[in-house]
Amino acid sequence: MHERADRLPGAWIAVDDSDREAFGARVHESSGLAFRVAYGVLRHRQQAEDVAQETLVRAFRAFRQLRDRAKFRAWLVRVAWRLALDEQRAHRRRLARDGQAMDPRPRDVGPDVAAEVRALWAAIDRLPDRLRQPLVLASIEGHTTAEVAALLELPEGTVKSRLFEARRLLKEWLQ
Amino acid sequence: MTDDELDRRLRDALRAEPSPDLAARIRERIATTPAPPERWRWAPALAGGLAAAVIVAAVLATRESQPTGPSPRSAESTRAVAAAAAPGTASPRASTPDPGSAIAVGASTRWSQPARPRRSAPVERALPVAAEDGDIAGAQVAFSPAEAMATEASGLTLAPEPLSIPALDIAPLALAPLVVAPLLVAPLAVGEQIIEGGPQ
Repeated sequence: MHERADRLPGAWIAVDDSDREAFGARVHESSGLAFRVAYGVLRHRQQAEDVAQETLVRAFRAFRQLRDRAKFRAWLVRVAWRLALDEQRAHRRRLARDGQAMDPRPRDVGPDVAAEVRALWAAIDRLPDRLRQPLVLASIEGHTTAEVAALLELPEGTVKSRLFEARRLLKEWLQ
Repeated sequence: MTDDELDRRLRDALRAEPSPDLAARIRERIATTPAPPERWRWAPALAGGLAAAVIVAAVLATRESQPTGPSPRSAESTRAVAAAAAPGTASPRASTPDPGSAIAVGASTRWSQPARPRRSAPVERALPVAAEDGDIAGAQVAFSPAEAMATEASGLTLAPEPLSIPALDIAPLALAPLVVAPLLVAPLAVGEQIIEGGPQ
């Protein structure tokens, strides 16, 4: 279990000549978060790791402007999500070019995956992005509604209503 | 399906751990990534330079748009208005200025039907001016467009007759020689205290 960044002592990330070292200390927790966000979209371990790596490199380049830890995590989630969506679209274009259909199951697991998991992934894919993002974030790392709201920089009430709507749609589609 | 059951299935579906070497690979790539540029250190200097350039450009543009001729409020302009306000004046249309004592450069025709002048350029009008010695040159007077329009609207016209200006007689100024008394400096005795400011 990763130690939550917002529960660590010290609300600020050091930014001085030791930026590289300070950022390196954050890589472990941040790479895990970026990977899980990307995996929630891509469901492909290798591609999610590539997205996480690219996200962290971009975060390093913008490290001086991301002093606040909470803003850093929110920025990381947004970039990882956007990069994962870009990768997903590129993957779909490749499949369409090759005349193949998108398989909703995790692409790095075998065909013996349970049918209910495949149905769940297909339902998640049907969700609009504004509902899917808070749902994925709430389902990884044990994020509370308030933490999801902080990550998405949205009011907590907005996140609650979106989570409610996402769950309602999923239950409707899975039954 | 209850919310708890759905959340459990979602957590199971989204549960994934990255490779153990992902963090090491990212650290390795960051180690080879150039440090981010410190763009914010020269940003204030750039902003200041741009502001200075804008101010200089504005000043230069303002100077170029100003007229280079005599000021509308110069002494000549004042003299022209005084001449126009002289009693017994008539329209300059009737006047036929003498080339020797007055200058007319086709402005008298413009005077009868003045065209609307440009906003910033002064309007040169012929003013029949003659001194007693008949040797005043450069009698053209520069009016600003606003002054010209105001003068015409007020009904003031230029004097039909040449204006006589008496010659100025200036007596020579006598200056008395300045007498400066020699300055006496007494030597400072040993032990004498120096009083700041000197003796009153």
